[in-house]
Amino acid sequence: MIDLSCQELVELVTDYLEGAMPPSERERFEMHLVYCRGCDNYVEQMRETLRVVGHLTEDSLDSRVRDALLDAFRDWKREGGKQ
Amino acid sequence: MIAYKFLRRGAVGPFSRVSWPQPGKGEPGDWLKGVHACRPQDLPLWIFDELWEVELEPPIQATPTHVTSSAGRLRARIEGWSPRTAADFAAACAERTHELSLLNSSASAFAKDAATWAKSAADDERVAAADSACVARIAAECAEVLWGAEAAERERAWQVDWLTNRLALPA
Repeated sequence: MIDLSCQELVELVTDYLEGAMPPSERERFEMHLVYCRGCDNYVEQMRETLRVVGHLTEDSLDSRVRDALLDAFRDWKREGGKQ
Repeated sequence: MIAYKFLRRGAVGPFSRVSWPQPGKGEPGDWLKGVHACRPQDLPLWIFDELWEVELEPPIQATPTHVTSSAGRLRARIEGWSPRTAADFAAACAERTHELSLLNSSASAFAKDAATWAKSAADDERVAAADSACVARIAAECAEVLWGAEAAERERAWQVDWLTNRLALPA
């Protein structure tokens, strides 16, 4: 099974939280969450957004915020994951 | 069928975030519908904070990475799985990756990453389980990149042996 990248996960989070993924893709997604704390936290934030707002759209997370998060993930991983 | 289930702290489903009914007074927890669980060979893929022994209702369907059942219930917590054990597992996987790097210097970056995450697991018990899963993945990925899919499978098999021996689980 090919690993999902963090970038791919971010792009798929809406499908995941809305239950719109085939089982094999869902498994890949969840396997990534097992070992990637950054993405696990991100998904939980989006889940909470969905719970509060009732839906997710492209605007649920400002693209600049999303890009900043991805940059932060990359920096965080490069620095050994220290918070 | 008896299988295993990794859960978040407080017996919470790692992806569903559903609270699993916990055992009490010598009785298993209540049944929960539509569950996924681990056989011993699946354990390194699904690591989270708590490990439980779970009873599954037949029929059970097996996939290459887990089993599914219409219902499951928690029987007992595997107390041996702790932040300390997770940190030890991470250290063992990091050492394996270091050994791979001695065979092939191309693995040095993987070994460095593995060591970093293993230290994180040892330093902070709140993230020990997650970081041990990360190190396990790095070790398997290192083996796969350098020597192919069969090498990655052997690495995962080594991880299964480590976990089942340490936790005294039936293989």
